[in-house]
Amino acid sequence: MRLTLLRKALRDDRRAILGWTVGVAAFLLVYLPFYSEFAEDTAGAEEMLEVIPEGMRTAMGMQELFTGAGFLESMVFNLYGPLLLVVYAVVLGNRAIAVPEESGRLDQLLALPISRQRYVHERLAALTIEVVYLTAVLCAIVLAFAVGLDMGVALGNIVAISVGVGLLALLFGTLTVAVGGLSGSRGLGLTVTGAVAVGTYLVHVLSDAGAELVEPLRWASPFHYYLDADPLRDGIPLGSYAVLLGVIIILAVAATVTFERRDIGV
Amino acid sequence: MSTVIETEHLTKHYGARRGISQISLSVHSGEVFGFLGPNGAGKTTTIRLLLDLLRPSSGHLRVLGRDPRSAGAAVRQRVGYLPGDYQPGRQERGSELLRYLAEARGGVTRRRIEELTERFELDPSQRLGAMSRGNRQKLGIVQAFMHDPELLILDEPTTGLDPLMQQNFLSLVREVRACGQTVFLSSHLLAEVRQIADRIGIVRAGHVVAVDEVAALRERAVRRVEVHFDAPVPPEHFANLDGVRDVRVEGTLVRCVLDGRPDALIKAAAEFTVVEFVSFEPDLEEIFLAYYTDEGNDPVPEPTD
Repeated sequence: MRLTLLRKALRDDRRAILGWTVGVAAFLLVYLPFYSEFAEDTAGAEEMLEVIPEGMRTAMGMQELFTGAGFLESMVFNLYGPLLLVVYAVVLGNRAIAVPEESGRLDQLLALPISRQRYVHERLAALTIEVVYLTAVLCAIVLAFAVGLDMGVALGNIVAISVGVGLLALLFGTLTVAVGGLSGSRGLGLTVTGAVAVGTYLVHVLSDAGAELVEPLRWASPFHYYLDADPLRDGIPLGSYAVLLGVIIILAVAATVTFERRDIGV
Repeated sequence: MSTVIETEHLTKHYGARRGISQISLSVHSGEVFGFLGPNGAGKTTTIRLLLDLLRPSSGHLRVLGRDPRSAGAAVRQRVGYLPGDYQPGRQERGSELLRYLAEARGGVTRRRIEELTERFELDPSQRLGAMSRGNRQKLGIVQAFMHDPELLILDEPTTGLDPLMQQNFLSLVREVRACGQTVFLSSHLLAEVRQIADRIGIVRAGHVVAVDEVAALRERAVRRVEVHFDAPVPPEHFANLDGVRDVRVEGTLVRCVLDGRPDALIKAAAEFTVVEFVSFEPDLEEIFLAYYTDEGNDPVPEPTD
C-alpha cells in the first residue's frame, strides 16, 4: 500500500494545518500564563468568577480558576480547546469529499485506479493524523505550562483529557466526512455538523445546570462521554472513550457506504 | 475486432431535465469514436457513466470487457480520462498535480510527461489557479495521455485550445490510434470530429440518433452551396440535378442544397464560367434533420438548451 492519496491530502492541507497550529499555540500562550496570577490571588479569582452569572459560567465551562485542574478545565478543556479542535476537524473533514466534489475536482481523483472505498479510507486516515497532530500540540503546550507553573495536575491526566479532546474532534470531523459522503454538499456538511455540535454541547451544559427537560438526552451528547467521567482528575475513562471511538467507527462506515453508492457531482 | 466500450439501452435519469435514454453503442478496439451532439444532449452523462462516476438507472455497460461498477479500479487503471469543463484545483502547481496523478497510476515516466508538456508548450510549474483556461486544458490532456492507456475517454478535449494547439491535439490522437489505442471523444463541433474520428455517434436530447462512419455521414450531410458565375445562367439548366434540391437561380448566382455528393452540380456548373464556389459547413441541426427525415420521424427538431 503506497497511500499516495493520504500523503497528497496531508500535503494539500499543510497550510491549513500550519495556520491552526499557530492559532492554537497563540491561544494557549496568551491564556495559560494567567494561572500564576489566579493561584496567587485566590480571592480575586473567586470574585472575578462571581461577576459572571452562574448559568453563563456553566455554559462556558468556567469553574474554579485557582486550582490547576479547575483552571485548565475553565480555560482549555471545557469549551475553547474542544471548540478549536472540532472546528479544525470539521473544516478539514469537509475537504475530503464535499469541497473537491463541489469544485469539480473530484472527477479526476476518482477516475484514478483507486476504489471509492479506498478513497474514503485514505482521507479518513489523513484526517485522523491531522487531528492527532493538533491534539498533540495542544497537549504538549498544556503539559509545558502545567510543569512550568506548577499546577499540581498529574501529567498523565492531562494526556488523558487531551485524548478525549482528540476523540471528540475526530468524531465531528468524521461526521462531516459522512455528510459529505452522503450529500457531496459542503454547506450541508458545515450546517449539519455545526448544528449537531452546538446542540449536543447545549444538551450537556443544560443538563449540567439541572434542566430536567434535556437531562434524559444527556447520554446522547458526545460531550458527556468526554467530560463527565472527569479525565483530568481520574485519568482515561475507558468505557466513555470506547463509546466515542465506536461512534467514530460507525460514522466512518456510514461515510464509506454512502459514498460508494451514489452519483458524483450531480 | 474486439469491443472496448459497449452500452445496451443505457439509461440515466437525474435532475429535472438531464439524462440519457436507451443509449446503445459499441466502440471497437483501435478506432477513434466521435460522440457528437449539442450541449446538454447527454454526452457528459454517458461519459461519466463509463467512468463509474454515475450509476445507470437501467441498461448495461462494459468498458474494456468489464463492469465499471464492480471492476472499477482495475478498469480505470487502463483508461485515461479528461473531464469536461476540467477543474484541476487551484492551490497546487501543475507539476505537483501531475506527479500525484502519475504516482497514483504508476508506470508513468518523467520523460513521457516532459514530452507531452513540451509538445503543448505548457509550463507545469504554474499554480493551477493562475493558469489560463487553455493551459488547464492542456494539463488535462497531458494527464489523460501520460500513462499511454488502452482507452482514452475525452470530454470536449479541445475546449479552450487555440487552433494551433487543436491541431497539435488532433495529431496526438492520430499517433495514439496508430499505436492501437482506442479514443472515445465528445464534441459539439462536427468540423473537429470529422477530421479525426473513424465513426461518429450523434446524440441529441439524450438519445443516440445515428451512428455511422464519417465518410457516410459526410455523404448524407446536407450542405448549402452558392455558385457565382461571370454571366447569368439559365435556371432550367440546374433543375432536376441528382442530389441537388431547393435550387434558386438569381442572375449570376445559383443557390441550392446538396444532399450528399456534389458531383452533378459541379458538372452542370462547369459548362459556364465559375467565379466563386462557396460550400457552407453543414451544421449539426441540418444533419439531425437529415437523419430525422430519413427515419421518418418528426423533421422539426425541438429547440435544444
